[in-house]
Amino acid sequence: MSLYSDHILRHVPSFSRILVASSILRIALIIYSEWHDAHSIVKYTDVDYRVFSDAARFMLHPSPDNRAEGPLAAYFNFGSPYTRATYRYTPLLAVLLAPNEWVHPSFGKFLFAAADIVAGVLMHNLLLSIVLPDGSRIPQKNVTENASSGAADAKNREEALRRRATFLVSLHLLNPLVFTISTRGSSESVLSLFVLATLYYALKGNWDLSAVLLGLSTHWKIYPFIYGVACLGVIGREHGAGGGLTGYLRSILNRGTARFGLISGMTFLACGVAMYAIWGQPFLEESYLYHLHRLDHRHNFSPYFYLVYLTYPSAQDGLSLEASSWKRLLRSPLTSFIPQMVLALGTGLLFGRRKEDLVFTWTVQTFVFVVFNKVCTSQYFLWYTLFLPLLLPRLSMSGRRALAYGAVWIGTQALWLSEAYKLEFLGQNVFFGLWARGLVYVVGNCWVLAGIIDSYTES
Amino acid sequence: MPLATFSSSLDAQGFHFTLSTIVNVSSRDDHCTFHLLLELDPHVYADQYELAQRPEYTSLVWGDADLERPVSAVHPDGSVLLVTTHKHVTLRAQATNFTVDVPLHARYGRPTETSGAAFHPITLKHPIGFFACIDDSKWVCRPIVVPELLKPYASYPGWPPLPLFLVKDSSPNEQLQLVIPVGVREDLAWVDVGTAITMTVMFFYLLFASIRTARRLAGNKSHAKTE
Repeated sequence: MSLYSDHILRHVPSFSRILVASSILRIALIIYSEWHDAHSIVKYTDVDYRVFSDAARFMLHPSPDNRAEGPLAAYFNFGSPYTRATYRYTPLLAVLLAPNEWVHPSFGKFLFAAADIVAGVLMHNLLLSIVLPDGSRIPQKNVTENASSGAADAKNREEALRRRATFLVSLHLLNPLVFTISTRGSSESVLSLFVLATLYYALKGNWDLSAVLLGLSTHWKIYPFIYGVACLGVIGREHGAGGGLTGYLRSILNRGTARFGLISGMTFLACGVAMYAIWGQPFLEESYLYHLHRLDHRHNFSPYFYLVYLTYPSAQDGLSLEASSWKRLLRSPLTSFIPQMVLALGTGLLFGRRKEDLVFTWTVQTFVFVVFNKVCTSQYFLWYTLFLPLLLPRLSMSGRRALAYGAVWIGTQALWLSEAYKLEFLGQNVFFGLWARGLVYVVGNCWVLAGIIDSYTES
Repeated sequence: MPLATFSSSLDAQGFHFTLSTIVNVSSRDDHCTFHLLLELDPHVYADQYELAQRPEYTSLVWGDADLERPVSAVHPDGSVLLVTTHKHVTLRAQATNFTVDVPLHARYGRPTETSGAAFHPITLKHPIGFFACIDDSKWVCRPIVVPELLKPYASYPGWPPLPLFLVKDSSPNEQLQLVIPVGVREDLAWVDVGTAITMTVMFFYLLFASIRTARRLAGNKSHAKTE
């Protein structure tokens, strides 16, 4: 059964009803989280939310041991959000959550939930204005074939389009992964909104605004910089001309690409300079430099965790295990970084040719980035599932195949999670098994991604 | 001075567990608060931010309380945790029991060389319970001495004021032990090669899938142009 079969679309309510239902669901969950956390040792709220909230509190309540350290800190009476251990984000996040102190501790959760909703509105707009009208693979059998009434036909087509758009957006707004992550207090929805807004303006052809939002997204979390490559590819083809090497070089470096790169780079720099001016070196260390040399030894979906744990440098002598040169090569950070970057950036160049392909390109780039990353938690999946409602109309695959991909994607996670539970909560020695399941997770996800790539069709 | 005893137990499985201490108070004093001091092995740590969420007590941590590193990367001296209950023992007439639950976590232990010894037992030192009593004129004319057991900690910043009265541990022989699994260095050969091969094969698999699709899309475009 196709996703767009009349059986399904007939029952799809209006977009405003979906928005209201999504909002009520999130409000209810946030209220429930307050009750649950007050009555249970095991909290509904994510540990990260406590980190953000504590950071906001430290920022608002300076003390001799807690001061902003930037060159302009004296002009602002701020504490440092980095006084909070494990806070590794931009100070802007702590600023956003300042109302947790003034209004209510759950303010941040409402903010993150609101970001979900706004993202849904943006998606709906994109689907109605660009993605669906671009001749996506939609069966026409549910459109009335009444030649005598062209206006009625147009109205029916418009109605069908609206129902499809609403159905696709509800895959995001009513996705349990999405609403539980935001109502538990994870800030991923804020970055998702920035990334979606970047895409929105790129698809609308407003490259200047898209560049600003890309700079802001990259300031928020580094990985969105990979989208810049695809954007440059698209702009380059719009502005560049001619064949051969000269034409290719002209498509990479021309007025359009230079302008986009400059605006995006300047936005990123401006955000960084502003944060550094107030919060100084700790901002650079915790927000960016930490991620260059972080060693995540605790179990996570990435199979690299076990290698990191077994070779973790000792505090006493600062050395890791002695190893032969080929082992040192295998364990080198570059061995994981190079394939990740080649694929993440390479697919951006390969597929970033037309604006219409940006959704597909960014999905592939993000998926690759997450699968090949040295650390991976469930929240990272949001980075690429965000694009699925916009991508689905361009995928040509049977329902059976789609179900198989979904089953493998979920199944590999379930396989890993069941083993992780035994380690974390039952104390069983399943390190090797967990590592092996990490490999299964990588292989399974790569198979799913290859299937998505193979089934992509242009408008 | 309040009269009391306490007993602690540990129900530990996995990397997250709770040290549960039941305090039996036979007579209470308005001016005293109960404190529980735990000297933690470097394999075990308390998350001070998690403890701050507990409404029934406040806490202080001294030493290396890093939340993210394995045991091989932290100071071998571990840390010291002081829990101070909010419940002031006030009534003189009636006995009261209360429980202090302290959530603790285990770090990943040092990997062992072979799978034969793939678990590491950790025995926690029994906590020291004591009362700190303040603002009572009874104590003015008596010399105030730090109990011997607490002397090593008396100079820590934030240490409660004197006088301090030790509370008897009614279960000193009960072992507070947990066992954590540890990694096995023997696995490194498989992990090194297995991870590298899998990631390399998947890299080329996706590379070819991407090039194949890019060619298909380019072919579609030139076909469309021809038409």
